Amino acid sequence: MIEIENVTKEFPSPEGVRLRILDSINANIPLGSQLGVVGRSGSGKTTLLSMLAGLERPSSGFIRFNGFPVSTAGEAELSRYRAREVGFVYQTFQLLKHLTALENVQVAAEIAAHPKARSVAQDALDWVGLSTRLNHRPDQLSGGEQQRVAIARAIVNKPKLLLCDEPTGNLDPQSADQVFRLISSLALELGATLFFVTHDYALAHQLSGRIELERGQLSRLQLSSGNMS
Amino acid sequence: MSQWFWPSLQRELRASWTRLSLSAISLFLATSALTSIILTDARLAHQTRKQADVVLGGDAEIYDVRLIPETLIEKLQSSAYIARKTRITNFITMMNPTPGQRPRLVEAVSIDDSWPLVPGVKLTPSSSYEQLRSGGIWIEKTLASNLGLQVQKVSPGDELNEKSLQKLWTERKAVRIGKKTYPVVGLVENDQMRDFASFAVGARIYMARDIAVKQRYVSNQSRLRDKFILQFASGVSAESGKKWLSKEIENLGNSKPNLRSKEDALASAFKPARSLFLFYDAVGFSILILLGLGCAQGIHSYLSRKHGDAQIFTMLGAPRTQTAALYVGNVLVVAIVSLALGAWAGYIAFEKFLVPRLMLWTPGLSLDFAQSELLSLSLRFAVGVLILTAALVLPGAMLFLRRKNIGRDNNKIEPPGLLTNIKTLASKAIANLENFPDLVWLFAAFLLSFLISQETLLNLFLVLFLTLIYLLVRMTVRSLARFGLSSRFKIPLFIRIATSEIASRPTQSALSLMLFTLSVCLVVFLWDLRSNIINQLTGGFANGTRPNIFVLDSPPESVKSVREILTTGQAEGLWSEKLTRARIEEVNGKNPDEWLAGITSKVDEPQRALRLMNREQNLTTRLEPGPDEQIVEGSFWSKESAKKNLDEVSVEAGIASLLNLQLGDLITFNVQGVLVKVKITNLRKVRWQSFRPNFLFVLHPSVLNEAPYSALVAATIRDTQARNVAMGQLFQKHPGLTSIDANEFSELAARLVNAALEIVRTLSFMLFAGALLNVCLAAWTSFTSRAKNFSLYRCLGANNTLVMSSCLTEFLVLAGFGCIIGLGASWGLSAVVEHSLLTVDDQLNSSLMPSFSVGMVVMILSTTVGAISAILILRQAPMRVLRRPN
Repeated sequence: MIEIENVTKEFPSPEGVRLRILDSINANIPLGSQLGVVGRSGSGKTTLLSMLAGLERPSSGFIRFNGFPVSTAGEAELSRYRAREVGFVYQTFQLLKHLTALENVQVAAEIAAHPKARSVAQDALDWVGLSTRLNHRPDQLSGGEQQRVAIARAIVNKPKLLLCDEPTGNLDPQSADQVFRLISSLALELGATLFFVTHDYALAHQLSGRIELERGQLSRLQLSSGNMS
Repeated sequence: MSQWFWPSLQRELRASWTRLSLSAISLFLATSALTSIILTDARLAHQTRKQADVVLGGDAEIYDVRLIPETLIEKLQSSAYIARKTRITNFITMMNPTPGQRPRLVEAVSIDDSWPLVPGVKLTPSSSYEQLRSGGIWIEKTLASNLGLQVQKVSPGDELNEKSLQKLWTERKAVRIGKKTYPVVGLVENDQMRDFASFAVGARIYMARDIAVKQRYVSNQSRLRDKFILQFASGVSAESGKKWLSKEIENLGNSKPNLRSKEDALASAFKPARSLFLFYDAVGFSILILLGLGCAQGIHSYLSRKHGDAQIFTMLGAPRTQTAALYVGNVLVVAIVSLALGAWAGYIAFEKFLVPRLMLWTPGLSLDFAQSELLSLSLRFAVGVLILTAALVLPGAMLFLRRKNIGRDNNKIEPPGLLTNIKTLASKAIANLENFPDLVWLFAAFLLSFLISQETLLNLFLVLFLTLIYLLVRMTVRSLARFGLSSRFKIPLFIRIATSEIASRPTQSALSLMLFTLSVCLVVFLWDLRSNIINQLTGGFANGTRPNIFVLDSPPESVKSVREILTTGQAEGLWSEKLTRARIEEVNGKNPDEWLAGITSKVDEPQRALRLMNREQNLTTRLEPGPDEQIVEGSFWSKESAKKNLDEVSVEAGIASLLNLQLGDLITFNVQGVLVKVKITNLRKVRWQSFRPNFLFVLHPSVLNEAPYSALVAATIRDTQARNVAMGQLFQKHPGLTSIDANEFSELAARLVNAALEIVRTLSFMLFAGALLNVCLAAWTSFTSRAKNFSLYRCLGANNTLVMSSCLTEFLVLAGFGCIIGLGASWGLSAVVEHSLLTVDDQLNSSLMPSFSVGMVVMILSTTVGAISAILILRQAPMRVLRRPN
């Protein structure tokens, strides 16, 4: 279970006023759920993902992942949590330009201290259908392929939480659809809980649950025991 | 244009103020360095020109250790090339300053009626040459003071009879040379720098040449030096005048006197100082490079960011001029302000800081540039500013050019051919220059170096040296990629992340490494120089071993008494050497002229060889080498050979090379009419800077057993009062001996060295400040990219320790390689300086301590920069960093 209790996040603005990005969010999400996170720009979607990953702490409230206190844990525990339990996919891929596809994935396995980092990285790229592009650098890959490398990197440590921040935002509709299906099927295969941030309501509706944010507040939370509709 | 230019400039300054301000500071420092270097150079050139007039009054001089041949004098009299000339003949005579005392040996100068063509000699009271022609003499002020002599006012036309002259002698207002009495009509005060530069410490009395000739003082006797100082006629250039003189001298046959131009005089007189100035130029140049590299990098980084902005401007329909203004205009405004401030600061630093210190040893150094010199200085500086600005704008212009190329119609097919290939290659090369702002700056610095120093070879050497370092640095950065994240070696992850970071930003990493390298190289080099070469220049007077009292030509029976006086006077060091005067009669059976004729093609300085071969030599005998001597070839006879008869001689290595003498050669000396033949059995290197009595020719004691000798006694008495007492006693007890208190010359040398040390300190400070600033700048310019990468690692689960250790390792690896390359470079530089630039005799003693200390400081600094960088990264929210535009 992912427990989000009364989570609020505030930032100081340049004018000195405190901006409330998330306001009293409450949710209990069963593990293995697949949720589309939607909302306008600035509604707090990325901030919510950051807090779920333990990259930022709530100004108030509490987040717990499968019993692990994400919002209060120490830095070392959070790093270990991110390395082993969390996988990230970003809109702009965030690949290291000077490394090959294989090396980009391998880095994540090495940071998680995986004893066979290279071999699991190869497996992960195989999963996403890039076994023939192992030694290509990001600038030698298409946008869709770069995103698949990023997905391979996210799943290489078999995470229990997959956080995707608009991963289809930079892709054409066909590639976007492929990436979406790939992520949801891999999450299902891994039994991971999926948070899929998107502006595409149609995509979000294809997932079993949905979180809608509006001006930092949770306007709608729909959970379903089923998987894909 | 101003409608959008100024608002755009304001926005730019606000948005990129940190990068621009750091670049501006770098530029400011670079301009300050350039200004102070150009001003120093101009001032020194100006000063040395003045000194050249002091050392050598006219445009050229002809001199010899014999009387200059009459045939040449006749030519000089009738030539249209010569406007003015004066003849100066130095000779040795015996002077008796006081009735009832023994005469003393003194070096005199006879001058003809053109005097004073040579400036730098002050006369008190102002006296005319007519007074000398009437039979008066001028006497050196210090000698007059030591002997208690006073000036007698003699007006032209005054007739002094024998009786009145006798009275003056009794009153110590006249001196006696032979049977003739000369009233002292003036006191001469020589320019100390001239004496120091030429070591002409012996000239003590001045008289009219016609009197010296009439009295037969001037003849081809020992220790004579005849000299003509010449001023060319207007319209005759120094070059053509010298050419004419060379030709006339060449026609003289074997008895050729020496010819020296003003430039030659400068070169020899200012050899030690010139070396330091060259060194100063070289280090100043390197500092300029160091600061400039940082500056170029900062501007390049700023402009790179503007790449995207320009594209947006173009999309918004901005004309090309506006986009170009965005690139170049803002940089120019910042550059001009920084250049102006830098020039002002450089001027202040120079005028308020360096000049007062240089004034310590050159009292005549004043702000009296001629209009033409000021104009030349301004022009040089303007050209310097132009080059600096061009170097700044060039990377930006390249970026702009490349953008233009990208926007070009790529579908246009050029006809194949050589011209197209060349055009393509040139276009690629120019467009790629943006990736090498440091190379652009290096080239600019090469051009600038000609403004700083006219030494083309030195400039080329520096550029070659820096280019080699640059290439080595680039190779190192490239090689480090092997140990990055893609490495298959089993290396800890934090090291691989660090090396991967270095390899991912090759230009910025190369710049940081270059900065570390140059800083280490220059600081270690400066340290070495400070502790080695400058100590050598001081000749060891820092530890008090350099003699400051010399008693010349002491007869054997006086030596014991002289030594006693000096020992009682708290002498810390006391040296006494036998000195026998002789001339070289033959070398390997050939007379000197024949020998020289045979070796002319083999020696570098035939004129010097001629002079040396024909002059009177001071010989001494020793049983073992002196403390300042090192046998470089052959073997010195042993102490045990004291009772043997060995006809052997030890020759100073430099002179052996000059005269093409080798082991086994036979030299015949004429010792007071007796011929002595000796064989060269060893060559010695002598440390002349020690200023202790050292000799070119050292013979086995058995050779000169029967020869007449005098003694040279030298001592070190540091206490001024004790020295004055000892000098007073020497004058009282041995009035016939020449005693010299060389302390004023030591002090002059010490002031020279202190001035050099001040310069070294200033340069070290500038170097540290510049290097630190540029390392910060390099870290700052790569911060965005580093922050993005490390934020990604953090999202992937990297903990704070991994981020911190990787950041630290990145800077430590750069600093470590910087130390290794820098130390190697500094050793190389020291070796070059040791052998060619400074022409020091001893080897540099590179101790590990400076290297270790500098290495530690660099490591600490790099660790600090790395730690600050890591802390700043860790304080940022990773997701926000990743979402920022590039």
